[in-house]
Amino acid sequence: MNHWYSPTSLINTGVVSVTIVVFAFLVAQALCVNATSLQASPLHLPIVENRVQDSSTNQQIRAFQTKPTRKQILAMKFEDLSALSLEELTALSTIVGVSSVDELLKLLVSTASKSNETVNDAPGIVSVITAREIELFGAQTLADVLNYVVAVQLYSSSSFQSNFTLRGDLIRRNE
Amino acid sequence: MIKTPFPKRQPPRFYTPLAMMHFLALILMLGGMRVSAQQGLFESLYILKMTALVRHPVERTSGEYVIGVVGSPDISAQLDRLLTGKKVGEQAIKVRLFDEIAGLTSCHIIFLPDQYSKKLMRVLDAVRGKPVLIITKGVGMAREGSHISILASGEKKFEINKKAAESVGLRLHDDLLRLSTLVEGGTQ
Repeated sequence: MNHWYSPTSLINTGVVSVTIVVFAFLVAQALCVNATSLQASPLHLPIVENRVQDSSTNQQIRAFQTKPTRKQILAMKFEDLSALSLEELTALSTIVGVSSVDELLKLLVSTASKSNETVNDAPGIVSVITAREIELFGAQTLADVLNYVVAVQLYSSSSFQSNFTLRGDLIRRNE
Repeated sequence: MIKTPFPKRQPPRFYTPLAMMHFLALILMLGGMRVSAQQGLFESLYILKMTALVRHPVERTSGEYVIGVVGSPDISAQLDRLLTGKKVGEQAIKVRLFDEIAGLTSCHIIFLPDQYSKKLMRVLDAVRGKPVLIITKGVGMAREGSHISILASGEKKFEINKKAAESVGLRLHDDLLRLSTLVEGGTQ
């Protein structure tokens, strides 16, 4: 007889619960990674010389003037990367972007304290919109960006002006 | 009908999705490890590039070029694997792990991983006045006295305390300064 409260059932239930929690965390982390890896139309990111090892000769380095994808960068080897300048490396690391919740919390923001600090340390409610996200949104105007921020609601009164409310209060007219 | 003492039981129906979730979780974990490894790779590359962009006094330009890592065997092993065999001028790079603060003055560069950033003051005391480049990770570390701090995000990837570095006889190349936010502070 196998009651729901038998030791075997309880262990099974525990295993399922732990698995679901771990799985959800990993999915969230993977989504965080993938969200930064998607490539859209370039806006302000620098175009760097992309060197990829040629698989046919496995020695020759070929270079072409396009912005490398995150996947390409992750596939590059140390020797290829060490041939690049520090400036090119910093540009590549920007494309690799934020990879974990921990790093997301280390993003720098400038708030009322007028100095760089992490999202955790900032004395205020902070919504961070990265350049990568603006690319992904395909935003052309400030209104396009603000539309994606929680608790900000926009509505247009004409073609050239839009009003927005922040957490329920109508605070500004954007013309 | 014979009743067997151990009747064959059907496995619960949630076993199949459970196995699939375990499999997917394994794939996701492997993907995450790959990204982390690549970011550690960038830190190693930054340190390698800084060996060329930071000039030590003449008396430190012979013998081995020692990069010391405080506390973290994993990071030390990775740097050792990637950088050993490289040269800074005529000096061969040697990576050493330091569990204790003693002996740090023999280093050209000290890398303090973010999980050991609380040891910064002790490191600064140990190498005070010596031409040893101290590299840390995270915001505000250069204001506390490290010479270069690698940032996780932002337009500028480094914070540099130029005054602290120059006070111990280190010269920083303009190419490095151009890519960095200059800060002041610390007790060097």
